[in-house]
Amino acid sequence: VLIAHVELVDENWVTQNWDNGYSEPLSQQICCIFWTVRNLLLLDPKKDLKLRGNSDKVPYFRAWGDEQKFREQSLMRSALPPTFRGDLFVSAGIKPGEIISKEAVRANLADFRAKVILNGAFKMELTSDPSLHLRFDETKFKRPTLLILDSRTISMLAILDLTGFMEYVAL
Amino acid sequence: MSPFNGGANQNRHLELPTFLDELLLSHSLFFGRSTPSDNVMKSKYGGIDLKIIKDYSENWSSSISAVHISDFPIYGTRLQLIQQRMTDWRPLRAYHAIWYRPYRDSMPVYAFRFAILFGLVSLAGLGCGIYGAVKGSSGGHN
Repeated sequence: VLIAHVELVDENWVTQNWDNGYSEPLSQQICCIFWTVRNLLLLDPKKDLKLRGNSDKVPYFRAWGDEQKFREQSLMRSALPPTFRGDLFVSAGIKPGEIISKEAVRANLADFRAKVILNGAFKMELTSDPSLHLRFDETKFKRPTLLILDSRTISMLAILDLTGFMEYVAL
Repeated sequence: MSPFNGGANQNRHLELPTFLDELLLSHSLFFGRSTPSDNVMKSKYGGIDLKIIKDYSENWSSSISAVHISDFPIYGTRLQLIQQRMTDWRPLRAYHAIWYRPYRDSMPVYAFRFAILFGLVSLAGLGCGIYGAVKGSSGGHN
C-alpha cells in the first residue's frame, strides 16, 4: 500500500511539474546521452576522448589528423541529406559518391602485392588516415606513393563496422 | 542490386561484415601472398600485423587467388584506379627508365637497359682500343 502510494505521489508530481521545470532538463539529458552515444559510435569525431601521451594529449580513437570540419563545410558537403549511416562511412574514410552500383569490372589483382609494387615505380607507405587507404600520395613528385592503412587503425575501424549499421546500405 | 550485397557475399563464404572484410582482404592482397624481406617489413611496415593477415587468410578468407575486384564493393573504385595507374605508368625521364620497371609491358625498358649496357661496353671497348693504340704508338717511339 505504501509503495502504491509513493508511486501515485511521484506520478502526480511528474504530471503536475511536467511543464514547470521537468521536461526541459529531461530533454537536455536525453540530448546529451544521444550525442555522446552518437559521438562514440562515430569514433569520436569531436576528439573529446584523449589519452595522456608523452608530451601532449592524444585522441583515443582517431590517431589520424583528418579534416572533418573541412568536409562539413557547406561547399564541400554532399548534396545528399546527412544520415547516421552516411556519417559512419565518412568516419570510415569513404565518401558517399565513392560507392557506385555498377557492373563487375574485370581487373587483374594478381600483381597487387607489396613486393611487386615496390619492385616497380611506386612506393608504399602506411597511413593512419582511413580516407587515404588505397590512395596515392602525389605530394612526393619523384615517385607516387601508395598508402595502406596500418593494422591498428583497421582494428579501430572494426568498431564502426561492428555497430552493424554499415552492412547492406547504399548511401 | 545494392553494391553491398553483390559479389562479396555471393562468391565468398565470409561472415564478417563487408567493410571489415574488405579492409582485411586488402591487407591480405598486398601482404598475405608475398611479403618484402623481414628487414623491410620491420623498418617500413612495422604497423602491419602479419599474424592478423595470416589468421584471416587461413581461417576467414576463401582462396585469395580467386579474389576479384567485384569482391570490393566499397574499395573497388580505388583498386580500379591503382590498376589503371599501374597499367598507364611509363617512364618520363631517362633515369626513370633505368631505375624503375613498368608494371606492364616491360620489354621496351629491358631493351633500353640492354641498349645502354651495350653502349657502355662499346664505349669501354673503344676507350681500351684508343688506350692500346696510344700506348703502342708511344712504345714504338721508344
